[in-house]
Amino acid sequence: MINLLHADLFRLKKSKALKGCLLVVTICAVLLAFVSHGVMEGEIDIAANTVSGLSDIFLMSVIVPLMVGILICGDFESKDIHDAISCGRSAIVLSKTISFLLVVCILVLPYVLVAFIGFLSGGSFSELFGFSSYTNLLASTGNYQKDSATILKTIGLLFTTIILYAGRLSICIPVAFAVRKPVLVTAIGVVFGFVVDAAVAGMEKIDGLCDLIDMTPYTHQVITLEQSGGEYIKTIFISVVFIVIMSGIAYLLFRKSEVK
Amino acid sequence: MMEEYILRINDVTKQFKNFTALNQVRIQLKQGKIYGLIGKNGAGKTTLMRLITGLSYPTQGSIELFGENKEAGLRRERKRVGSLIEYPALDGNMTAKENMKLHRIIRGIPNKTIEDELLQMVGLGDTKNKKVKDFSLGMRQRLGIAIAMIGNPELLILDEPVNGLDPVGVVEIRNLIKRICEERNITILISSHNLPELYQTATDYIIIDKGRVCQTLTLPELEKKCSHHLVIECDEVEKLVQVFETKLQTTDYRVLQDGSVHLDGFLEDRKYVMKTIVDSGIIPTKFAVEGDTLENYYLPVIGGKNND
Repeated sequence: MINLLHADLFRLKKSKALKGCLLVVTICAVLLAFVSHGVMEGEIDIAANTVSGLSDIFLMSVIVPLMVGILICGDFESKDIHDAISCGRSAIVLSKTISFLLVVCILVLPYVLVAFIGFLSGGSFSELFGFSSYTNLLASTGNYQKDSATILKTIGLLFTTIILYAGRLSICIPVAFAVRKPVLVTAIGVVFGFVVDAAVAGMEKIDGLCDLIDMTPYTHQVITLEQSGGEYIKTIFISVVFIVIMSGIAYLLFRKSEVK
Repeated sequence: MMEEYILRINDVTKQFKNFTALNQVRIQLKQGKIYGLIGKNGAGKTTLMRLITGLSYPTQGSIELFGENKEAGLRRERKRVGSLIEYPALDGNMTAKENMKLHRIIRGIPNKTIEDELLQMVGLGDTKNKKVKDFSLGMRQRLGIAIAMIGNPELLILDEPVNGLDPVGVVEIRNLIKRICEERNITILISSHNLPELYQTATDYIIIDKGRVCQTLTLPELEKKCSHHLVIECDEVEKLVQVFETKLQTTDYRVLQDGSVHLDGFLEDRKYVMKTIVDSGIIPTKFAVEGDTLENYYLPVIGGKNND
């Protein structure tokens, strides 16, 4: 299994797609911070929804399925999977799950760093939209002293957001093993993300369903510094369980399937 | 003496919904031989190769690889199998060496020198740093074979390795396959539509049609069935005939009107025949094996038309 992970790292290091996506995410994250600062300072006068395309949620919903498509389906298209199959199908699914986590970490990292640096800078930022934990963190910078406890909690928050993203987007893993076409994985991942978001927005108004949605990574609750460490752990736990379930489904789909 | 079989396919059936790709197939492969898998499109050649490499599972029957037939054992033993199914797994944006490195990592082989050794072996030593997208089809196939050889396999499975190659490429791949088999004593299972090519490469033949194995035979058996004989031409026919009768102790020959002599029964000892003739002071102007082609033999076996 380690050799499969090592091979994925080698591929990712050579991947122009990953470098391109990382560049786009970095530009968007920096632009978002500038816009957030400009709006708060009154230098920029735009409606929040006009810059929602720069938000982490929008970008991750598009870019991560694209990269998962390349990461997993690429092996089927290039036939590298023929060599990997002697390591066992469970090892393939496990290594791809870990590589997926790594890809999510890499792609979210620009937002994490921009939010962290912006928060520490103590500058003034607008929240812009209420659904992003990063803009929320930026906007709350004035409310907290930058002592070690706060910094530690901020790191915990940022780590939680990464795992939450991995949980939300882990649906792409079984989809990739089932359809094996990068374009389809991207399309299904993006459409699924938007449909679930819309469905959750509707269901959250219904009592009882709200608690149920909170037990999934698709909750619309923004992770803030006001939440306790226990709530972070709960979010991480839910996301990890979701990733494990998705990997399990991927294994069941791939276990006895034909490899072209 | 017990002969060692490295692969046994025991009554394997592969069913895809309403289509039976393989039907009760039984095959045994011995070490160090080159097996030619012959069959029309859709006969089941690639399906058989995919079952052996674990890309697919049989609906019925079992596969025994290096003595293992349980799933865990098969998975372990598949590390001793190299394969090139349909077309090579190559990343065009990587160099030949980088592609080799990727597959070396996937197979968990720490020895980095194997990359250069194999690239040298397939004649790509000088172009190892060239991007694969700039490679010709022949170079890609050779790189594919090098990749298949990465784990030092004892069984090499090649599906249509000369497909689409020009005559020079075909000869290159043929020589490479023969050299690999001789130098490394590995078993090769090779499928091809190119029957004359397969005739020059394989030592054993498996004829498959509509998912069933129609016949398995060795090269000498095939040559016998194809009524092969030695054709010798020289300026001293009478002296040649004397050599046959006195030194080879045979009268199983025919002198044709064109002056050529057809000698039966010495196909496996043709080197000895040549040496005997030359030692007797006769210089042959032609010394060849002739007879029916593999194609002529194969078509009636699968019930096809022989147009010759």
